[in-house]
Amino acid sequence: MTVARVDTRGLYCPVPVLRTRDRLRGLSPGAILEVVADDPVVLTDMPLFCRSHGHEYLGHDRGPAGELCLRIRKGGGARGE
Amino acid sequence: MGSETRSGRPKALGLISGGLDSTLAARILTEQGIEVEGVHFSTGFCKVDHRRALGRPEDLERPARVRNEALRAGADLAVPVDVVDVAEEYLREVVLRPRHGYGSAMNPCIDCRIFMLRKAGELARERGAEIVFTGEVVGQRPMSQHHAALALIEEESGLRGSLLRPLSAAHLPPTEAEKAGRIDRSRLGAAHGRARRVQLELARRFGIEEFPTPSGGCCFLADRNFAARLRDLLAHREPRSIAREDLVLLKVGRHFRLAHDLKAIFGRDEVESRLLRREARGRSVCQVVDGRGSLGLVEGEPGPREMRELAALAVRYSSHRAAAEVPVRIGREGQEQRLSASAVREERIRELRIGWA
Repeated sequence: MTVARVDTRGLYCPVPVLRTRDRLRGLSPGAILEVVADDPVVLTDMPLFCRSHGHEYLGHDRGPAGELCLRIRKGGGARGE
Repeated sequence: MGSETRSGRPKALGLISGGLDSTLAARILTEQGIEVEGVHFSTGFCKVDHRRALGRPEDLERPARVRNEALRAGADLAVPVDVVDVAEEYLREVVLRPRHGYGSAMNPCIDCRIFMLRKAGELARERGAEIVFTGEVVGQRPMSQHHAALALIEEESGLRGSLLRPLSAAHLPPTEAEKAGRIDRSRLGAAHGRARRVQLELARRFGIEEFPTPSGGCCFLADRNFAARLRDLLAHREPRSIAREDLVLLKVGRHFRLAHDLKAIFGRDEVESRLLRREARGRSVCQVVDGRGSLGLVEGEPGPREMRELAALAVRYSSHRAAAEVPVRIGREGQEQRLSASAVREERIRELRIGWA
């Protein structure tokens, strides 16, 4: 499966979450989205956003330059729209 | 507004801050089987968002200090809460032209409510929600939540008959949905005034244990220092050119106006200096050469006399403020110039500094 990606580096929360929501709208349920970020607060906001909207937060790791790479599986319910 | 959802249940869209009141308002409705969605408008003037942007290690270690409470409430309530960025529109339409005036600083509380409710009404129509709700309590806030203000806000936001305050509904006229029996008015709240007894009782009943303490004072527009900086920016920049990032910079450091088109911001500690470096993005910075001082972000193109003044400021906010001829670096990354200076005089600081209480 190809992984969609959204780069939010340079943006402060909540803006990375807004970009994530917009990007998820174009994806099918079950699709994986990778979110690249450099605001550490995204690690607090993103799991909450996913719970609120019915997506699955899969965790994060660090990229080569120390950036955060978060992974989300799009949920299938109406809440994800 | 649409009155039927696919599920056949009435649907309501609420302004959710994540505080106890809006959380309870949402819970009162979900308890009745009403389908609830939330929206949180991010204006760029929120003090918590600034704490999040600074990212102090002691804050990042405690999620409760940095999390977005609206998203937290959405997660706990299992209702989708949308965060909507309205910063630039809000600045131009509400902050610069409040029809109902400002509070103690540049806080246009009544216009702010009207703006958010009007936007919520638009969103509700798009999503087929027949009710817009808030966590407002009659008599809780002197400026925006007394009876007359609530009525005015309802009228001007275009939500007459469709704006519900579930916590205080017993003290307010019924909405159309209550009149038609789609919302059971007898199960709505009767909270009134500043005492929070009713809310705490409801929180206990619903098992809501975790909520932020009501802070008030969470908006930069009510902060006089911030308001002075914003007024200065508006006097020297075309409002249309002001973006969300400019608002971030207004909240950090000490600000100095050197000329109509030249301003400098010096961090007050390492964390602020780090944020300024991150925000430099091709702009000039200045700092004592050995790095033992605040970073100054320069907005504009300094001439030779202004370069000397910037250097003197950099020395003043360094560990070398008592020394003479301290080397300072000024310029864009990779194109820095060096010059030497002594600390700027205190009376000159008073002339240059913006928003100094």
